[in-house]
Amino acid sequence: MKEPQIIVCAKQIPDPEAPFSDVTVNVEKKQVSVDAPDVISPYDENALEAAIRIKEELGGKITVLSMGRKVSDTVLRKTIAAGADSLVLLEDPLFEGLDSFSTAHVLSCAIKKIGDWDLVLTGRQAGDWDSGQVGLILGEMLDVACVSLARSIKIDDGKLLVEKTVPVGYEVVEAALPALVTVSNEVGELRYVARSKMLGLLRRPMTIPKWNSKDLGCDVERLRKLQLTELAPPADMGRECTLIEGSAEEQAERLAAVLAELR
Amino acid sequence: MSDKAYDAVIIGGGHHGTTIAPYLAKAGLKVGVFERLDHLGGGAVTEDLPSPGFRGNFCAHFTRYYGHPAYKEFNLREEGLEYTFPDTNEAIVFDDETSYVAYAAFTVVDPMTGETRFNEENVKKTYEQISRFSKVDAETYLDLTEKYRTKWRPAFHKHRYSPPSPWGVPDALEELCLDPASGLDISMQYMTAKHVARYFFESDELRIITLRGFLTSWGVFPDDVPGLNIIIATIHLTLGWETAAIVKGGTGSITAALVSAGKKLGVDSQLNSEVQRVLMENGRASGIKLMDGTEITAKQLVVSDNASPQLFLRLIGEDRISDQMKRMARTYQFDRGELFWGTVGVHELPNYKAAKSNPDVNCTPRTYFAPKDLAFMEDKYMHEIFLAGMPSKMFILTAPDSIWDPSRVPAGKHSLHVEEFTCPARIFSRKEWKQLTEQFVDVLFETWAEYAPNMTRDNLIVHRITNPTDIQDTHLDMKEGGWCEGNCSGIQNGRFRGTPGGHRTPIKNLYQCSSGTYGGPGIGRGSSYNCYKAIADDFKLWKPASV
Amino acid sequence: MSEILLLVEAKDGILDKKTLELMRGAKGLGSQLGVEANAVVVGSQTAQLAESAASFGLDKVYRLEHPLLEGFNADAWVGGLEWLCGQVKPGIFLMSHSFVGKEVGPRLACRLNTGLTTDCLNLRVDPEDGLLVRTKPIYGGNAIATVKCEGVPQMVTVRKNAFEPIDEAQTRSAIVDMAPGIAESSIRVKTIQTVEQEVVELDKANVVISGGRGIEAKEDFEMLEALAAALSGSHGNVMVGCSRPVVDKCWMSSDRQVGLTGTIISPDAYIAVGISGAIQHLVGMIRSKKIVAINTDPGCNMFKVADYGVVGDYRDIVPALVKKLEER
Repeated sequence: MKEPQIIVCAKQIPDPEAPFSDVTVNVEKKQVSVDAPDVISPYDENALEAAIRIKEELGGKITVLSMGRKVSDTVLRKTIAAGADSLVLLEDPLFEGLDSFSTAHVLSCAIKKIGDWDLVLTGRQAGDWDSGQVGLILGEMLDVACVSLARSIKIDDGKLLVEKTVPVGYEVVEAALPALVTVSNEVGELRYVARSKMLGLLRRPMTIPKWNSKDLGCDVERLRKLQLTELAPPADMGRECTLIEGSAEEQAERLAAVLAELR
Repeated sequence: MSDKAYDAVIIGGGHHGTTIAPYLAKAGLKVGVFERLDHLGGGAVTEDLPSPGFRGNFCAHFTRYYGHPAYKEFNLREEGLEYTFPDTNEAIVFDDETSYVAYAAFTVVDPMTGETRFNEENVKKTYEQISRFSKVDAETYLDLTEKYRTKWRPAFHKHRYSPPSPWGVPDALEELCLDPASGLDISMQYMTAKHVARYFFESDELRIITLRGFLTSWGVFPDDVPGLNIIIATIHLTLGWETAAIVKGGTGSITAALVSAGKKLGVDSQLNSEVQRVLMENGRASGIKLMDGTEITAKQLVVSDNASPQLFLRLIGEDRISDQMKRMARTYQFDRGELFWGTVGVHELPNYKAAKSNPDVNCTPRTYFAPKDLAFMEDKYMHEIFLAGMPSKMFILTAPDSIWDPSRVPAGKHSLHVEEFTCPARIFSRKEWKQLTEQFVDVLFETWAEYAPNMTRDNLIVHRITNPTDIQDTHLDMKEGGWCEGNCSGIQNGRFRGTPGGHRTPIKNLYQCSSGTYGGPGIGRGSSYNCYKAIADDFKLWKPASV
Repeated sequence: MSEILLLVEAKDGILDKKTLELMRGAKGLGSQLGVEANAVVVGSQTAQLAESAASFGLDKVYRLEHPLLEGFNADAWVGGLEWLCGQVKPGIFLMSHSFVGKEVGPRLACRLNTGLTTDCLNLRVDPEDGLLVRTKPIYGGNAIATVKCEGVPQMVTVRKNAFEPIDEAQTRSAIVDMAPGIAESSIRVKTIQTVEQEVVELDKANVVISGGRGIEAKEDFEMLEALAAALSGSHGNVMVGCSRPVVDKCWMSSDRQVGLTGTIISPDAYIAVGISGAIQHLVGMIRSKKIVAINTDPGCNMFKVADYGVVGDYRDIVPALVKKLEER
């Protein structure tokens, strides 16, 4: 069989592990600003890891597709360092603040433009809005088999075999290619790229193709903005913390007493 | 209605808050210190690092507090602040097994007061060390040592412990530059660190250690402009003039002694008391409000041990400051001094290959191991750090303090502090910082073993390495996670550091004593002492003996 | 406006608590808008389930029955529900933010050409435009967004605890049989094996002990297991959980993950070991009655939300604690 052509959709978001002291909610402007570096949404990293494992076994090519304004060159290059082959950036003022449906529409136009593909992988949800919609809607729009919550992905004899997390454990499911799979973190973390390799890659000249709404021929009339009517900070979660001090022995003694109280 | 009143209220019990408090109390003021964390000292703290059984410094490590006027003023030796003074001072081991050890030109003769004498014998030893690789630099050493002894040293001391002079009035170091015999020139205040290293030394060896010294001491990279006081302080490191000093029990002992002295003078320190706002009345600072709503009256003055962004943007508020102050506070530069820093507990001390020809490299308080690659240090080092978080060639600093202070380790074991520079916290995500820190430890031991074959992982008992996010999360004035409360070079150096007006802020009765002001970062530098002098002038208070 | 429809979920014939919560929400919206509040049960044999669902005073319960709807196949369910919506044209369609809701919701919304908001905490109707006003946490719970979407039906998935579970009612709902046409060919994904695993239901525990990124080695979870064993004699059901990085390292299965994308729990006591307290984790355990944090970093967020804090190395403290508990 021919080597699989895999597309991974990756979204850039502010570091979701940033402490909440780094997050500012501007109620008037209805904006959340996070004073932290941008990263690839963690589940999208899992998706890329899954793609790289398939490529390691069967060969093929991985294209990373990212939509958004000011997507960082450095962030994208990390995907190449890890094992992706090429990048495409979807950038247009019209793409800002889109809802899940419209985001999926833009991505579907880009995937159709790429043309030759067997498998699209996305994270199960993005680490900023945690909606978990774009991947599945994209599957519908591409009109292909659609599997969610993958914990392992294999292509065997041209067929897709996915272990999918379900409430009782997992299911092994089968589908024909082309297909779309949303990936969960059980797949495993995106491999670590040694800094020395990263250094070389960051220095290498590279032009990342940028496609706008005209290039994609997407139906601009179909693009809907997300209607955010209000934004509020969360309720205060802070509690008065009693610190238990002393040697490990003393701490354990006092902690045991505290736990005994809680029965 | 206020809940409590003091004559002087200090925001933050960091190193400079704990230093200025006893001065204000000695002047007869009722002093209250309000600290956000559950301990005092800011960067001057010692904890069970890397793990219980060991003691290590979470932030500041190299100190010479015995030279600070407060040491004598408050009898800190009596308060338990004890130093030991090794003869060896600064060493570097290169990848070709050559090395250099500098011996203290000024050794302490009276540990009770910190009094020093000029040590000709040590000068000779250092001269011989430099002669091994450069006769020219060895002669330069003798020449500069004489200049240091007669001119630089008194001027530097005066500069450190005097408030900044107004613009147009030369300060002690600027005056020095006007003396043709000083070897310094007024234009040097605009030289880059790279330029300074080349100007004074011809050997790669001394240039490398000078450039690394600019970083160690001030977080200044080769293309940064250090300014006069940093130039003198760094050359003084390279050539090892003032004795190295090991504080018994770690840097936290300084805080303990200052706090104890302050307590005896009536200083009231409140922990877990984060300040929310500086209160103002008729344009003057009149007190503070805590996070829990408590209001504290300052009958005379408020002193802030915070950097300008926190003080002016958070505690005072943009609506109460001028447009100029707003711009200055908003653009305060933080991007320097970020480290992989920590303590490693080991079974045995490193035995460097270079010790065969130069045994003292095994017992020098500040020992670097680094490639003899000046071109890399000059041009690529910083760029690689900012691109990848870690340079491809490491210039590691180690401090085997347990040789002189066995109280920090379990019997028969040792600990070393280790340091390499990295980039600001914002450049990497939290996950990447964890990964980088793990990689740092791997590379550290791989590299170390090349210089000292016994420094393998087998020799390691336990380690705790912090990265900039650890510092940023615990210290509000150390955004981006650098140890130096903001870039110290260029515009944030000397009299320009912090607020125009030195320690006096544009708000009446509000003073700033932190290392984000004139004096700069590092334990025992002069900002709080000089701030007290400014306060004493304004309020006609008792003045400490002039330096 | 036309009716409000909700998707019923059940396990072993017993209605899911989240479904009972949705029923109260649907009924409330129905009486506010003056429209019917109806439910749909899906399956190959739905008679019994429909009877159960009919005892809560909704107007109708649809039995969407077809052999291909046996179990849960997303392709079949999406197809069946698409057909049903075509028939009854609901104005609002509510689902739980559950495994089924998360899988069906987006695909069904796409087929019906409408918008969807997932993981809603709260719902109301804007009287001016009749649209559902949806409240949901974003940025891991760091902000609460209120959004609206165009399109019919107005679709949402709702987080648990958004409404109180509904009580049984005097009047029974009318049961309406619906027979969708679902083509075999529409099933693109086939399950060839289901592997049942021992699944930990953390939300059933009295005490949860979780390890995070600070846990140095997989084997160290044995210390937490030992602590769980030491507590289980006195504290009831004690389970070991974790934060997300542990699942990412494949040290634990995802059913043990506490947090926004794992399980949201509210045990009597929560012991966080080596967890720094990223907000995604905090929202999953903040409703715990008492929180104990063990961490080497005194500045970490976990101490800000904890009732008790121990600054130290878990490798010293946890074994010592186990010993003390055993001595008691």
